Amino acid sequence: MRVVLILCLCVSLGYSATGKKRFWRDSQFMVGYLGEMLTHPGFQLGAEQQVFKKKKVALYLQEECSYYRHKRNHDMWSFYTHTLFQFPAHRRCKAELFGGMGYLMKVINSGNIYSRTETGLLKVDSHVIMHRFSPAVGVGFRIDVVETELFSLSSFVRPRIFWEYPYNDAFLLHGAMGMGITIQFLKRGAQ
Amino acid sequence: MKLLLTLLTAILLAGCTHELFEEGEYFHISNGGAIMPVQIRGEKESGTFCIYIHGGPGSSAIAEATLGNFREIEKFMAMVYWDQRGAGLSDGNPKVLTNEASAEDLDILIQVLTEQYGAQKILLMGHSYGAIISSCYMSKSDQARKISGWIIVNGTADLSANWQPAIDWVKAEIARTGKSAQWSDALAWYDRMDSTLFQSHDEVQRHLGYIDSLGGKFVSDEFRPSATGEQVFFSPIGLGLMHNEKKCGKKVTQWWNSNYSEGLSVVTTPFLLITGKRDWIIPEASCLTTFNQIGTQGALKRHRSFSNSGHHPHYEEVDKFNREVIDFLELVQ
Repeated sequence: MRVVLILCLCVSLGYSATGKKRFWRDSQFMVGYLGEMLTHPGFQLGAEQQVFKKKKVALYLQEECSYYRHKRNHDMWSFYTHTLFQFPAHRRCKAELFGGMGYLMKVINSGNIYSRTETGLLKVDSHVIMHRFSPAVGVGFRIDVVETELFSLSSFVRPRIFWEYPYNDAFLLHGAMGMGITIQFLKRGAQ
Repeated sequence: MKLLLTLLTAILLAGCTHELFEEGEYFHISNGGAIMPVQIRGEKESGTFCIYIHGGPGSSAIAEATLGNFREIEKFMAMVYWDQRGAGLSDGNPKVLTNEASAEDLDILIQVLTEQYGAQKILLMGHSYGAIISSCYMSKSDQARKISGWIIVNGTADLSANWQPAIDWVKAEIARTGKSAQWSDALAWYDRMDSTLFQSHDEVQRHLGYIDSLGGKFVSDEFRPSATGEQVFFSPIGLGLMHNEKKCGKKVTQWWNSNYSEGLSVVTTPFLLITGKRDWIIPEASCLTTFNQIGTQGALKRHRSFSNSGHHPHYEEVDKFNREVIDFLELVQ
């Protein structure tokens, strides 16, 4: 599964890099807060590549890396590829729907982790890393804040749910809230 | 934009956890694919450590500990809150969920407490299904020797014999309230049962649901704990606890038929049984059967019956409960 996700990332980033001018015209970069269950603090970084745009609907391919810290329990890194539909909601506000696949790297790091060896001795580790498959779906709202010929800035709120598998041999549901800004350095159509 | 930044700042500032999660020390036990959290709170310097073995299957000792019911006990010894494999805040991907596997986890925990924390005396306190895990552990003499004191709270070593008296109580209670028509489905379901009683975890849950509805679990709803917004949003509990609570019991092999009473006659460890007189999940009579089977003799074996408690005397009569446990320490060598 990890190989598939890494391939997805490579393909989409490769697509993004074809043609320097087009890359800057079609790409938006996002940075924001990603709170697991809203309140477990984390951050997210990503890029959104516009695949096509019709009159009302735009389709983006979104690559995202995020991190959050679950107090006294674990840290989690995630790497996602989302497909994001965007359509006008009201004036400068756009609504979004997205879904995608991701990979979670969960690090249990609160205190030592003790296990027993075959000879009955205690073995001590400072952390354990677990690799998890994770689909996600979400909705979002985006408001265009600044638009100039050189760049545009939007702010977004993107609540989402995602699943962690295998967690005790089953899918575990999570909720998260992403909030932040997207920046497009060269507006579409501008030279 | 300003609004977004204000909201973001407020969330970051509010991102604090319940104070009882912040207290004490955490570590994890890893065994057979399961990664189980352990929280230690209280007086570690006393050298006495009491492991609270939660019920369920699928509950959480760490979540229960946030109620702060054992604060008084924590002044006299260290309380160890361990979430069993597949339960509570436990993570990983264990392939085996059995009483025996949990007893093995418990043995590793005891080894950690002894070797890493200098524990001189270790007590087990098993509540409800936790009594099954502790009985499974204590039924092996080499393991029982590591334990200085054993407490069972509304629990039994033989669940297979536990259910019929409770079913009889449900039927009698329905007849007493004169609501047989309203409970006709339940009565018909009980009548269809053969001698094996329950075939699945869901059937046990259905039975326990009836007991709860008839008031055989909590004396009053004010003692009923529930996952709060604070636990979900401001603690490590999140949605994992609810997930595990729902799934764990279904996976623990035939837990409702567990019986470890055979090995208990050789146990000589000081023993305290605390029962809620109004509990029909594990009726007092079932608990007393186990009490009589344990080999501990004379004054080293105590039973305290709490007349105003149901299945959770440690929620319902907290002060009295804590006093009994602290008094029990005088028996622990």
